Amino acid sequence: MQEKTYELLLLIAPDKTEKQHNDLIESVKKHVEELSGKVVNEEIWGLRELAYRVNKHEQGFYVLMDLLMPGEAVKEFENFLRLEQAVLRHMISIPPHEYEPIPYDALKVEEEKLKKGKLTERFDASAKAKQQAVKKAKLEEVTVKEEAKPADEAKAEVKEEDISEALDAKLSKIIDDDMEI
Amino acid sequence: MAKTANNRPITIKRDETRNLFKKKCSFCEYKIPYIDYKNVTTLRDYMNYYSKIKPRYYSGNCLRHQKMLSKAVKKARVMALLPYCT
Repeated sequence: MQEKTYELLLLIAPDKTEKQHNDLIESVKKHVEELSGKVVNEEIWGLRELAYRVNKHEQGFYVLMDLLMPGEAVKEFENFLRLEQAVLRHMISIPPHEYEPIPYDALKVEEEKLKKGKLTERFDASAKAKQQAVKKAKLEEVTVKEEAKPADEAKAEVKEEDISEALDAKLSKIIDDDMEI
Repeated sequence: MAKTANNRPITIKRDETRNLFKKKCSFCEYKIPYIDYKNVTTLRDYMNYYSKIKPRYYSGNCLRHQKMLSKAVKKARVMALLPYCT
């Protein structure tokens, strides 16, 4: 079988000391070399908050590795990872050849910007005050229109009364004229 | 309204208006060949407040990139980088 480059992401329980973490990583590397593979790159992310609880832990220790090994040995390697108690999650994937992954330092900076920039805009007290001010302005516009309307209606009523009086006077004239004839 | 030399208004046909008001795929502009499941910041932009994947109609992605996106989000959810629900 030909050899391929695989990418490994490990999630390890955080309750352990540094020695135990390092011993775990070295045992994983030994197992890879037993299956005729090589470890090309290694990147230790360290402790990081999780999006949801995993086995009652709220933090996790992440490790990234690049491996060069034949395809038949991947199944045995996954069995070894499943049986280990300290390894909670693992993910083996095949990235394309020309792809260069982003280093973890740059990812951290972007995540901090996300937390400060967008979330505070949604849940700030000043944002609520702005919304309430906008609502008040809309209510004032509606009340101004309603006050203008009754004034116009009153003028119209006055005009109607004058018109009706004039019509009554005309009617009386017509009737009187007819009677005269 | 703009006018031509004969003082007639310029009108746009119906088929051409679709291209003007259509939303374009933000991945195709930069010609991204692969979406990584470790870029949590870019993936979060295409998700709901309740951390659900937005449909293609709202995000404007092409079919190819939408499928890559959904696979990356589901991988990240397994590794506890993104939540299943808030």
